[in-house]
Amino acid sequence: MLDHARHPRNRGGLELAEIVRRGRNPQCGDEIEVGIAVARQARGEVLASARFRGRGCAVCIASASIATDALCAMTRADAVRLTREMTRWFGAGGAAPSGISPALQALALVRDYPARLRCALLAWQALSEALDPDAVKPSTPG
Amino acid sequence: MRRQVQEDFPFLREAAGPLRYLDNAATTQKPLQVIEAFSRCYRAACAPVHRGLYPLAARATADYEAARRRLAQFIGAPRAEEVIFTRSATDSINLVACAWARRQLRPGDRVWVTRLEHHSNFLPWQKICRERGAELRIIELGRDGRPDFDAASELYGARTRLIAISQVSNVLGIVNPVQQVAGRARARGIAVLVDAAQAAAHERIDVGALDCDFLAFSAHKMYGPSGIGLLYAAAPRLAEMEPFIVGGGMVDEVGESESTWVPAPARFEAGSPDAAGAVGFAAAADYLDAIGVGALGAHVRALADRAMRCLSEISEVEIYGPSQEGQRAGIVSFNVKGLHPHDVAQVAGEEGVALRAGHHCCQPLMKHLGISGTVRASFAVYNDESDIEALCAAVRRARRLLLSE
Repeated sequence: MLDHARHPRNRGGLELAEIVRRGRNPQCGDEIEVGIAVARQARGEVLASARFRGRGCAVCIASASIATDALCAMTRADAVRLTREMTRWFGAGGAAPSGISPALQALALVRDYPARLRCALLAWQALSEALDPDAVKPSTPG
Repeated sequence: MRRQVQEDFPFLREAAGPLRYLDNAATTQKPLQVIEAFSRCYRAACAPVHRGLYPLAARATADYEAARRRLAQFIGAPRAEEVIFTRSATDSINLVACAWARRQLRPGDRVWVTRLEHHSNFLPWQKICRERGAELRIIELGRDGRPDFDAASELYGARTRLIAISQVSNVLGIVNPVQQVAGRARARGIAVLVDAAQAAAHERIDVGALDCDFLAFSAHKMYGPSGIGLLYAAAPRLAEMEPFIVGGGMVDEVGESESTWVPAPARFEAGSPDAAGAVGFAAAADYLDAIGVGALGAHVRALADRAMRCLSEISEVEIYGPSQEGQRAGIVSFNVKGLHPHDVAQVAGEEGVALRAGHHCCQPLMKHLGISGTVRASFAVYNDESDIEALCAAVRRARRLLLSE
């Protein structure tokens, strides 16, 4: 997580994104935007890119970096599933979504710091809205 | 001073791990004298206040009223009836907004606050002004970072009904010239409310000398229990207030469509009062007086000056508020360039240094400063120079850990 906080991946370059969504937490002044671009391939709609920009604390930036890294090149359906499972896992706890990468597992560290949960969720919620604009907006804990 | 008082504060021995508690502007730790007074109340004098006819109830009532008299004396209030117990400073200010301002404000009237105010001394006025069609005006900060009372034209104008200002800023530690403002307001018949939440532990409060109409603070920021605060309301204002919360303990006669109320202060204390809280509150006043509020103020100012000097030696640290020494009432707010304040506070927390980070319930001030928040260190009687060394070491560690080279 520290590595992603210090050297975030997929930061900037939202100009080419097709769908942009914004996440804000006025409590700590965190504000990020995520953008995705979708390509149509034989296996269906695939995320050609997932990027973010904005300002936030280390947890927020690391989470955005890890999330965009994880989703890139996934099919849209898989990406929707993963963001749903990750937001559920952050909020409700329980078993980790199956088969997730070590970087995604590292995000679970914030669950020891309830005050930082919203920071970690910000990018995931924005991504979930971008991926599935028709879905009901997930509620924020706390 | 720390050695002298160390014995008084059990948290230094009983809290988990080594703890440098520098979040005193949020809440202070409690000395044994307060904990014991509070505990004695529940052990030996627990009974309903103002409601029982047996000796134990008489004792609880006497303790509660003695606490009121002690606190009236602590703030220089001429009459104990002018002290109303509330749940918090926030509660006290809301009481003034709902019980007094709601009746007094007319469309077009003005209420003034400073840019520094805590949301507790901002939102009640925003709400009541909107409700009454009155106008909320802000005394902006001048070039020296202090509220510029002289530049606020019409502050003492004919339409101003109330000036609500903090005695000490909870973010910048600035001490406002409340006495001067109250004096000028008095001459024009304008009411003044002083939010003394940050002042109570370090500044002598004397409502007689201040000549203010209302003054609010809580016990928990001055080594007292949490959940109790008080409102001082000068007798003439008290007479203009209508009950806000109605219920038990504040009624004279209840009819089916009309009711009458008992006089102040009980009129504004509906519901069973917090007797142990009041007794603990008074014990905190005793504790402060035993050490001396003047000595306490000097102690935390010296620590704030020292923290400012040490922090300013760390590169990339930006300190907010007055830069002259002796100007900060025990509070230093800062940021490390490139780091979010929450990250700095979390790393410090893991090092055993308890700091506050965020907007400190002062979003209007944060917007003015163009930042989302600050890291804040605030000092109390049990802190000393070693806490400042730990603070600076923690800030250096946060830089090393989180800033990429």
